[in-house]
Amino acid sequence: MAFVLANALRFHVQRLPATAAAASAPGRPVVVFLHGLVVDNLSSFYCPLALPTARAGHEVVLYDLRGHGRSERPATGYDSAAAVRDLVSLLDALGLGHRRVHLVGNSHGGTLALHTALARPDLVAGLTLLEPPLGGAWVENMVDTLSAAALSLEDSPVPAELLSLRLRKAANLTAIADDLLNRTSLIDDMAASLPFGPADYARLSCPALIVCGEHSELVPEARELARHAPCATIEILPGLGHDVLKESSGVLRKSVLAHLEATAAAAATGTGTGTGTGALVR
Amino acid sequence: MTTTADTILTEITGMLVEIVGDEFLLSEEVTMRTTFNEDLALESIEFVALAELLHHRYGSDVDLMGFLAEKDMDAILAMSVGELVTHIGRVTHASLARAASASAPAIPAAPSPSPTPAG
Repeated sequence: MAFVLANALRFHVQRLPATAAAASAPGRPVVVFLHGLVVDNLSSFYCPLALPTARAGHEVVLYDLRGHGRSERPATGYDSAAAVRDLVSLLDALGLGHRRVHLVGNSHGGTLALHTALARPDLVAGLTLLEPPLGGAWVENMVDTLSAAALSLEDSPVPAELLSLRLRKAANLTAIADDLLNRTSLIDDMAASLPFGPADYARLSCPALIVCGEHSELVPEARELARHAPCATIEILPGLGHDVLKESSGVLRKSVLAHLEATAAAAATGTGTGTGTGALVR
Repeated sequence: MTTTADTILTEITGMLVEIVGDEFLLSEEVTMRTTFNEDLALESIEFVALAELLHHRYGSDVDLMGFLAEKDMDAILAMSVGELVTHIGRVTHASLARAASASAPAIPAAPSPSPTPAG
């Protein structure tokens, strides 16, 4: 099961079976996790959220996005439309094409989750967005940062040196970053992406929980999403920046599990679409 | 080391070779004291792959998810291979004991406690 062919690519996939009785209720969405950019992969969700989610009675799918982790790394297709096609094709390949999903996205994975919910409202029953970059300024900054990183990695002998020092982890991460940034269209695809706006947010029909760190630069745009989307709630975690997934597993876990359960219950009974409206700040 | 632990260690070593490749593992023997992070430099994503193979091999009785859910990834990678072997061995042994007692002649059992009302 670890590798699945979907949309003509080999994806690294991990499925965690639900281990609570609630899983037998029909209509509960499959919870699919979408990780962040470049050096991130499915493992960042594994302990803080994926295992607890499965143990709370949700069927879980984790996968490495195209080009990331242990998934195949093609030269092109790093735009949001391709990401939606990858996800839909992967669900079909897993025999889950008939199921609705709750997408949990971290950072860039949150952006992809929102794109998917807007493109396929029939598929997405709920969203959990952790520090999602939504506005144009973040994209510009990230493109600059990644371009600078690409230059520093280009034709660098660093991975070979690291390997010779038996620093296998650092060598692998550096090699993946070099490959993604210098030999794929990832940076160009990001630069060409369009920012979300209030009209997009207003079209979001599923319940969404947005979680941001208090000190994150992404908070203002996340508040805009919460303000315009009919069923969105924002939670601000005090004292944290962008990395809420790593730094706040306890508080985050409680909020996410409550949101997943509320969304699952609503989807299973077909009653209502929201877990709340407006902004919850703590 | 018991035969069971020996067998589990051999199987886990085989899984690590399958996931990581053998060029890094062949240079030193994997023992009960080998640690995932310090000695094997295992990446988080590789441990996740190992967990999947273990789940498939030993089934839900081992409750690997429950064992791992008590830890974060840093704590998991700080473990020795032996800690994982011991957990699997303990649960597998208990499972075998339950299966053996289930197939033994029936003896009078203590009365079951009343179901606890949901609170």
